[in-house]
Amino acid sequence: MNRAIIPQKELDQRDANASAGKRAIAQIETGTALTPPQLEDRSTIYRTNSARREVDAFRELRTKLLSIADGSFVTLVASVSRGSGGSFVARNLAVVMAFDETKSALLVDCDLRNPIQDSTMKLSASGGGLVEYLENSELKPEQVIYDTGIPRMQLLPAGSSRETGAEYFSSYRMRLLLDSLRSSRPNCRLILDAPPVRGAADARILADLADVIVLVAGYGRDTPAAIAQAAANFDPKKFAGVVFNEGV
Amino acid sequence: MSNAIAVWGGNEEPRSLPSLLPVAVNEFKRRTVLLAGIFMAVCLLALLAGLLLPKKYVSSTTILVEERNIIAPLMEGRAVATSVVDRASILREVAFSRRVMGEILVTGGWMEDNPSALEQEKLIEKIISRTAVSNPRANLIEISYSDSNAQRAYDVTKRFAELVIEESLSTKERESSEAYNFIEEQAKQYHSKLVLAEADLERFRTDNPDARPGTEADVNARIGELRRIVESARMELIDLRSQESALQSQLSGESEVTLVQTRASQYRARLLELQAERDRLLLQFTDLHPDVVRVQHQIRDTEEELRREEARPRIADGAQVDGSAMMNPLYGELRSRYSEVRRRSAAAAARISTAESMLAGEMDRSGRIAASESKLAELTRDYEVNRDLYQDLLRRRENARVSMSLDSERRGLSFRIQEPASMPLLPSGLRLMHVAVAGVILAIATALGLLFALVKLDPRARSADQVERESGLPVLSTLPTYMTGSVRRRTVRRYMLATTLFLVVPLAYVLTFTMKLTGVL
Repeated sequence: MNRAIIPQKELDQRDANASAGKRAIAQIETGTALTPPQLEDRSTIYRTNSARREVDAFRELRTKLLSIADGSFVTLVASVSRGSGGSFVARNLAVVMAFDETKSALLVDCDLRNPIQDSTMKLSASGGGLVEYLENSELKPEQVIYDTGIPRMQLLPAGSSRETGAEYFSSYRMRLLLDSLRSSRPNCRLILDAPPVRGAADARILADLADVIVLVAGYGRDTPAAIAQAAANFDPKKFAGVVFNEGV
Repeated sequence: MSNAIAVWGGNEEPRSLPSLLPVAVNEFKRRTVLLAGIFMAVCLLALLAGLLLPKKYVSSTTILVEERNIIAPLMEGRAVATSVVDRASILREVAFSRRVMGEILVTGGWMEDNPSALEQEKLIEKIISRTAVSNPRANLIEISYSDSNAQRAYDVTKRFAELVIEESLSTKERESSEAYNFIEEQAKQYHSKLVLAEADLERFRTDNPDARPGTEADVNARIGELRRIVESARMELIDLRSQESALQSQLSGESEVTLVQTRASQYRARLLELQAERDRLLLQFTDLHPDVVRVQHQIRDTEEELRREEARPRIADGAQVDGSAMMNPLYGELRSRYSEVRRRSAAAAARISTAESMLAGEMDRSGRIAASESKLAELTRDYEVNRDLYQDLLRRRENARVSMSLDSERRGLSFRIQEPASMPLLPSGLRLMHVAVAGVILAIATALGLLFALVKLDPRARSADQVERESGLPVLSTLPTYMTGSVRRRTVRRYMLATTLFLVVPLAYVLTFTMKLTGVL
């Protein structure tokens, strides 16, 4: 059963009818495409005929990342501090990755304290998210991955919020999840939306699982010294660079 | 990890103005509403302050102090005219005197509320602080007064000028009459002193007849003369004494009676003469020369005569001998001269003693004069000093009298109101216009100042360049604001709000000035 992106109330109705065990595996190529206003409403970029600065910027970012790593690599997107637009960058990086028709993208919302990806994309994570998957060993990854309405892009929401994700991310099951996703989807690029580096160790633990790390600095949010300090938390070999987000 | 910090360690560089400018523009776009709000608030506050600012009306008057008038050249050197500088200082003091200020309080209408003495004092201080007395040029005095009420500013300034002139003239008059009185009193004092000195001098002169100027010179001349007389008399006496002794010695060597020659001796003399004659002739002639023969004959006759004479008996008593003995004439002569010399020497001695006694008298008198001389000099000096001063004072008193009458007739010092006080029509000082313009400038400065302070002082990263430069990290991409429909709408709303806030200012200003011009405000 295909799970296309549908308005919230319809989804609720359908959820009321559907049984918990009948979670359909999301098919990559399926889904009803969202209209540009809907995408804008979800703070998500889209392809247009005319050149748009933000789309070009994300394309440039994608190109640079692809020059660093290839294949099905895991990208960690972490902001320096809250409010820097880390989730926006992660989401749209996933979108721009999915522009390529031979590839797909999976966005994993790892910000357990403040998960917003599902609500921003107006999805109802009724089947649980990452937390539910890690807590419940019987769940399969496909059961917590949802279609976003954007071609070739899926979302693994955080699920119910938690104070800290350190113990979840260092768990064996987390590593297993990423490995299985990577092996089962050879052309899928994984994007991890990490919580802010300052104030929690989650981003650092997640960095061990990622191949490429992107740090997001918001306009007028942090001092260059703080950004440098945040970057110092990561392995220099994995660290790709800073994305300066003026849209905050 | 620490290694990584070292690698990415930010190289801090001060941000220069050119690099600040785009950031500032960016920041301006982001905070338009706040900045426009600040701008509007400051502008409106300034406008309000300008409206509430008390209006200040200044009225001023100029008094010309006439230095030259018709009297001055006539009275040159006689009457002392007060100098201009003095006048200005007199005016300054006079203007703020208690009497004048009392009048001013009445003129300004402050006394209508019957203020207490303390309140009056405070009012006076306030008025003084609003009043300026200056002399821009040597003989011009300017009085200016500022008030919130135009009519009162005019009244007070006008009254000030009148009072100041009136007071200065009466002060001047009082001053010169005081000066006259003082000189008068001094003259009287010196008069009595002079009278006393005169009496002293008179009495002293009566007591000491010798004490007269010039007496000493007379006495000295007299003493000199007497001394000369004594000296010359002494010399004469010595001279006469020596003559006397010389004559005495001559007298002792001379016999009183001389023995005159006999007839024989006459013959002998005749014989000698003839023999001499014969010898002379024999040099030229022979014995046979008739002359020689005649001389030989004569000789023989004479010898004969002589023999006969010698052969005659001789009578012993010489006196009876005729013509052979007589009185010695030289002796007589000497005797008479001697007695003459003795007489004269006695006279000289008498003269010496007289002169010496007179000299002693004169010396005594000279001593007396010297003793009285110092006393006389003192008395004379006192008298002369007093006399000079008295005369001087009399002259001065007359000058002062003229000065006093000049002042009492108000001819010495003349004040003229050069420029009368005028009713101020426009308020001066800071006006609404100035405050409003200053407010706009201040508002712009405040808004821009805050903006630049934020950009300059806030160390947080505001550009990709800054992140790259200061943190040493590579920047992959710079993401612009995602202009979704809602973001665009919000932005437009923000700009519209800011524009509205900004436009409030010119609107308020135009409205205020229009109301001001039409006289509503």
